[in-house]
Order: sequence, then structure tokens, then C-alpha cells
Amino acid sequence: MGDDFHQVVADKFIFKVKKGLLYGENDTWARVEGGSIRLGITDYLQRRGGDIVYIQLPKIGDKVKQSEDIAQLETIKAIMTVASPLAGTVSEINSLLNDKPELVNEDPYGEGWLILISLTNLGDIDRLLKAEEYFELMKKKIQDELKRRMRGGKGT
Amino acid sequence: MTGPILVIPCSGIGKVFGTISREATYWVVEDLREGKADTLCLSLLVMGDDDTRRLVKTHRCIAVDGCPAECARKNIELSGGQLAANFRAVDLLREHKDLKTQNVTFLDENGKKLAGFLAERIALKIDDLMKEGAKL
Amino acid sequence: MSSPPKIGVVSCSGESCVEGTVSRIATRLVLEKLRPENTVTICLPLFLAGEQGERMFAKFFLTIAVDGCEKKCAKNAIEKYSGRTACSIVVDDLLKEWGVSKPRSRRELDDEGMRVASRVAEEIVVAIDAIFSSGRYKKSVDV
Repeated sequence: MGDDFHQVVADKFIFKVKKGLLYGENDTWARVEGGSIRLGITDYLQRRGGDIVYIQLPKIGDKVKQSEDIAQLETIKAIMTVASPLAGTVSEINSLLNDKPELVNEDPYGEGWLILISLTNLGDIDRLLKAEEYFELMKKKIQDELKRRMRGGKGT
Repeated sequence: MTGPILVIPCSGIGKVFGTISREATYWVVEDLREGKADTLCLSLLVMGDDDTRRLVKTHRCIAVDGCPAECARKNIELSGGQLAANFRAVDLLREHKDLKTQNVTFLDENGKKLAGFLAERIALKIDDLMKEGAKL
Repeated sequence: MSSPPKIGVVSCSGESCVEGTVSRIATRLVLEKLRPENTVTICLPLFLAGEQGERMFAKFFLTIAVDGCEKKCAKNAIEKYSGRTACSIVVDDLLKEWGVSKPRSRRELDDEGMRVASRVAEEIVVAIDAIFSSGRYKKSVDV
């Protein structure tokens, strides 16, 4: 298990970034499958959001632009919107999430995937971050969050 | 099968779901189905307390979990208990999206409403189980 | 990566007795109001059910167990799965020491019950401050 992920511990949490995937700066991951990408949210984002109780996904056939909102994940704390890192057409959605939205929390890089997008331009993949690059970005986000909490003084 | 039905909450302390499961349990065993239901400490069960393990094996149990981790259900099953039903507070929130709540220590109005809905469900389930038990 | 020093405060779930409710509320008071920046809770049911992150915390960070009764589920769980606790507080023992009656309801504490919970919370804070004064705490550990 340890070899499949980059990991960092902060407080009581272990934040994982799965190796071999590509990542958007908005905490989404992408697995290249031919001319498509299978998309989900990262372990970091699911932990920040909390238990997901409801998910709204786009419809098959919807066209999405880069950075356009494509999903809404509702937790007890807030509604998180997920933006597509690349442009394309929705070709598949994870229907398991209708009854089991918790899959996104339990297995964000596996069974908790959100949608499959057929890319408009396969070359756009180069815009995404490698796992190591996202890992560094994630660590910085965690550090910034810790500093904010120290200033605000909020425990868990 | 006679004897009270054991309603066992997870009482997770980190999330509001745990507080809802705890409150719903008390509502059932102290008000709605007093005398027909009782509760016990989940942590005693998991720590292998002999009396507690014997109780879950000899009484029908209802697990009242907060979140999808389902600690109460899993531990009743691991202990060889008679799991008759399980409920999750998080599912109530899915059905009542307008009742968002975050206060973990003391439930706010929305949290109490969710606990109330959950308690009603548990109470109805107890009625079903009591009828089944009467037929045996 | 570094983060401010944290101490885990683990409360028993204690549904069947009022002391369990007191330990739960006292722990929450510490987490939310009294020492929010230096404490974190570990969910005891999750810890017992084998959640990797929660058990790892108790392995590397000092923990205070807050139990309702002499069965000491929180203390025993921590020591069984992770190591020694830094401190163990038992509500029932404190009530006897103070000569205070148990609060009436396990479901909802009345004013007197809240005063008891606040006193227990203060005991937890004393333990936390003693740990920090001794310099025994650790910071985050990277894997």
C-alpha cells in the first residue's frame, strides 16, 4: 500500500496522493484511458469536505469546458463544487454514487470516481500535474490551512 | 425471543452524526419505547467485556451508526451479536437536506429534528421486531 | 512538515451511564473552547474498529484518556492498541473525590451537570498544560 501513494501526516490524518495519476490544481485526479480521462477528487479534498451525503453529477453527453463546474458534492458542512480540469464531453458517470456517496470518502482514487470525460484535445493532458508535483502543492495547502487554523484557534 | 431489544449507538465524538445517533437512542429507550428497549456501551463491547458480549448474543440488537464507517454494526457482528437492524444518521440527513447541522457537542434545532426522525424509525422497527418475537 | 503540538483527548462513549455523558461533554468543551489549537479528539469507536489514521496518532502523540467509570474503556483501548496514555481521568473517581452527586440525566445535563462537566474539563486542561510544561509533547511526524 505504501508504495502506491505519496503520503504525509498532518495532525491525526494521513493524506495520500496516488502515484501514476495526473492531477488538477483544484484537487481533482485524472486517469488517462485512451482519449478520455476518468475523474475524481483527491484524498485531501474529501477529508477537507467531510462525509459526503449527496452528489450531483452531470448528464452523459454534457459538454464541459476547462474549469467549468461539473459536480456538486454536498457534505454536512458545505457544498463543494468540482471543476473539470480539461474540456470534453461526459461519456460516463458513476451511478453507484447515487446510493453510496460515501464511496468518494472511502475510496477516492478507486470506486469513488465521479465521471469519464472524452477529451476535446488529448494534448490538454500536458496541463495536468504529475503526482509528485501535486503532492508538493497539497503539502503547501495543508501547511497554509494549519497556519490559518492556528490564527483562528479552532480544534477538531 | 423475549427481553428488551438493545439499541446500540456509535456515539462517535468527532462528528455531529455521532451525537445524533446517541440522542436518537436515548429518545427511544427513555421515551418512545421505554421498557421495551435498552442500550449499552459500544466501547465495552469492543473491549471484550464478558457481560456485554453475552448481552448482544442473547438479545436482538439494533445498531445506530452516525456515519458510513458503521462502527456499531461492525462491532456487533464481530462480537457474534444478533444484529436485527441497523440505521445510519447520515442517511437521515440525505433525506432531509434542509436540516443541515454542525454543532457536535449540543445538538441545535436541526440536529434534534434529525434525531427525532431517526428515533421514530428505530421505534417502528422495534415494534416490528416485537411482533416477530411474539409469533415465535 | 510541522504543525503545532497536539495532544489527543480520547473520551469513552459511555452511553449507559451519566458519567459517560459527562466525560463526552467535558472532552468537547476542551476541544472547542478551552484548548482548541492544541488538542484533537480520536473517535473511540473508529479507533477500536481499526481506523489507521486514528491509531497512528495515538502511537506517535501523547493521549489523555477520559473515562466515565472504572471500566476505563478509553484508557484500555489506547494502551491495548497504541501504547501508554499520558494521563487517565475517570469521572466517577473525580465525583467521589469532590463529594459531588452524579448528574441526574445521562441524556441531557442540567445546570448542575454542566458545572460538573466544566470542572472535569478543567481537570483535562490541567493535565494538558502539565504535559506541555514538561516538554514531553511531539510535533507531527511524516511518513
